[in-house]
Amino acid sequence: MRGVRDALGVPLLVLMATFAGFVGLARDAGIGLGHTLYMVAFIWALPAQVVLVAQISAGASLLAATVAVTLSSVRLMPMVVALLPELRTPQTRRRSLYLVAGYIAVTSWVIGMTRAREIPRRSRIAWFAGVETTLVAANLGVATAVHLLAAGLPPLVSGLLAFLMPTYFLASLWTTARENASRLALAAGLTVGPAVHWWSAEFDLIAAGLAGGVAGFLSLRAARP
Amino acid sequence: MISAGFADIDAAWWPWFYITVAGVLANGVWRAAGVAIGGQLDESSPSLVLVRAVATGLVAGVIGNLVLFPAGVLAATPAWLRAGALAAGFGAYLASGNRMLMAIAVTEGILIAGILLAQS
Repeated sequence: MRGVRDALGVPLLVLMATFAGFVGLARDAGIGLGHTLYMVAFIWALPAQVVLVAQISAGASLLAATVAVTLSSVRLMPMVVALLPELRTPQTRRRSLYLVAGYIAVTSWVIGMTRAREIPRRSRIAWFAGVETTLVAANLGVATAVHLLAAGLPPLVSGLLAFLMPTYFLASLWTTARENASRLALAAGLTVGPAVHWWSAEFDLIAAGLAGGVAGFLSLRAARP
Repeated sequence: MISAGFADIDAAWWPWFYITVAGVLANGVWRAAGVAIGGQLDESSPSLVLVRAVATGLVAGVIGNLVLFPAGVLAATPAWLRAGALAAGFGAYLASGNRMLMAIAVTEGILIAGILLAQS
């Protein structure tokens, strides 16, 4: 129950508003309520969801969309690797770990990394599951409401909600980027993605990822004597 | 099948399959990998830094596209207003010691002001 309470707060409000922006985007791309809720409940990573919706609107093939989403979600792996030692005990079952890891994303990760220490270690998995369940449930509610109401929202409001996504992503990426390589990659992707988009809406994100990789590689080379 | 788009196959199961493969599995595989290799991996190893750089670049590309090629009412606003609002919000985020609310308040405030001024 403590997990439910710890999930309620400003980060949840920001996340809900950002999700509202995502649902507007999905709805504009012609994606139905059922498919949208399925994405929210089982992908549970906004950048991956936005990439997927962008690929769908661009008419991208299953293969191209899979490659783009896979590349965009790599950052979840180090996040999981970093957070699990905070939550587990030697007795924790692997199944519980896979289950809670399935809902680690930026908001829950920040809550986990900052608050887990206040919880007795043997209760942490249950506590974190409570945090995650609250975040997911609240956003499924938001997604349903916005998808049903979106046509009734003033265009200015849906525009402002949509613009929460780049703001939230940019700030979160900066905070979770621990090394210069990632910061340079951020700048490279910001410029290369839209530039490539002019001539290919299908491969722009993959190009942005590659540009990020090149920037990261150069930064690693420069850091070594 | 792998070369078909979301709207290319007219069957009820296809969109679910598309989202499951290109969304749920493509994304979830990394969380599972994180559990599987957790603890055995040095977080600062060059290959992991590189992998993170690719992921960061790709999501940054998403940000750039959301700013430069928006849908709806935002498409009618000038690109410099959107880019400027985001840059100012990011500056406020850094200046306030990483407070997300500051980033949002400044970005959205500039955006609203710009839109309302253009209408008047």
